[in-house]
Amino acid sequence: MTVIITIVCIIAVGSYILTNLKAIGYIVEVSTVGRVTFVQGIIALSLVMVIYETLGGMRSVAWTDAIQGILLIAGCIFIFCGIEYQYGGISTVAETLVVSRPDLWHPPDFEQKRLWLSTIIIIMFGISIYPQAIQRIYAAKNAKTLRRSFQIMVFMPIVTTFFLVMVGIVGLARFQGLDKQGSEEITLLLLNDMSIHIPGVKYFIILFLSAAVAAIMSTVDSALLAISSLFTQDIYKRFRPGASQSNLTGTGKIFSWVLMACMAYFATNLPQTIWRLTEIKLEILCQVAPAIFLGLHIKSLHGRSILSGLSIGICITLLIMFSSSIGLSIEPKPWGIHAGVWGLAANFSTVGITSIYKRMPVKC
Amino acid sequence: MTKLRVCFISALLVIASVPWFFTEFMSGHVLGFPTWAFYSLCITILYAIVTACFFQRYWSLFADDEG
Repeated sequence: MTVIITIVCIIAVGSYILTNLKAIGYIVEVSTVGRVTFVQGIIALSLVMVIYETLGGMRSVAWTDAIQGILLIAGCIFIFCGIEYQYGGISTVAETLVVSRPDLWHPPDFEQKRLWLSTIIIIMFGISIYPQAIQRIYAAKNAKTLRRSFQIMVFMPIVTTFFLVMVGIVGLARFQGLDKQGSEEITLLLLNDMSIHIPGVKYFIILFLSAAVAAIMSTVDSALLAISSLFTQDIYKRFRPGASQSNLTGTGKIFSWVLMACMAYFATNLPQTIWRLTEIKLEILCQVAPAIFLGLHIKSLHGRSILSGLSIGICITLLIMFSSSIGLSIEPKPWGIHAGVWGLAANFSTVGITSIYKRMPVKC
Repeated sequence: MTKLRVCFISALLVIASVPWFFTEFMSGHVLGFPTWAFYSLCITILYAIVTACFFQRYWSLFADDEG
């Protein structure tokens, strides 16, 4: 079971690295006006990240995370203020959108509401068990520090995503008719537009882009560290139980380089959007949630029940996701609900049923 | 307060953050946001505040290894 969960986490976190590499490629290409291409940007920054992660390990990752996080929040606030100044604030933008996009003002229909809840579920279960986040739990000085950090952390998604959602809404009013590819670059398009109308804001834009690139690098290096730890402790050590710490550390670093090379290759070639890759990652990763949530709180739970649930959850998720590729006529999101949520429901149900079955007395 | 109640309240707030009861006849706007989006944002902020309070008051409840 440990090996299967480790492999699932490695695949999910690898996909996480993939989405961030794609994002960094777009940022570099648009901010340099094509002088540095998408592929060059990914390769160059991948090398930077894997080098400092190899040299510094957990401590360098923690320090860079702290600095990059501060830069990101400061950059978001500056850009938000710039948008308020240039475009007249959200109320003014809303008046434009009422005319150009009246569909936005209607509440979502019932299917969209089901998709909304389904998205919340995969995010809630998937993100809460990010291996790099769990790794940070063990790095806390004590329980009080951990509790305080969680109390602050619950507000961070609102703070960070709110500003960027505002950017998206203003961009929607300013740049109409963008296709999927164009919409992935909306933040950069808006920032470029602002720099044309307000020359002085370009320095803030540099700060924001630095913050965004820094945040992505912070995310990727954390994920890379988590994956190398997962691989060395839960897979490599099983085959080499007598391996020394230096051997494990070296193996982890080699694995990081190989993984980064693979992810850089996929980031430059896979056609899916960043959001679709994020959905796929979360749908697979959330299948591990029952193992952690139930395993922590129900001591009598048997490992085989967890393994059964995990296997069935992953099979159902992958079956629905790739049904069209294997000739089955199942919708990608049956009833407006993600494949991962169907898999998660089957997962929890299987764990429950097998646990009850194991407790039933055997009749002779 | 038991663990189950804490989890139930959290789940309830998460489900409530979806604007289930907003229909096409409720398509105004508040502070530049569609009404349904403003409602969802308010519930999300409430959820964050409630979760932070739960961490403060019931941390030891979940730290109990005996479950």
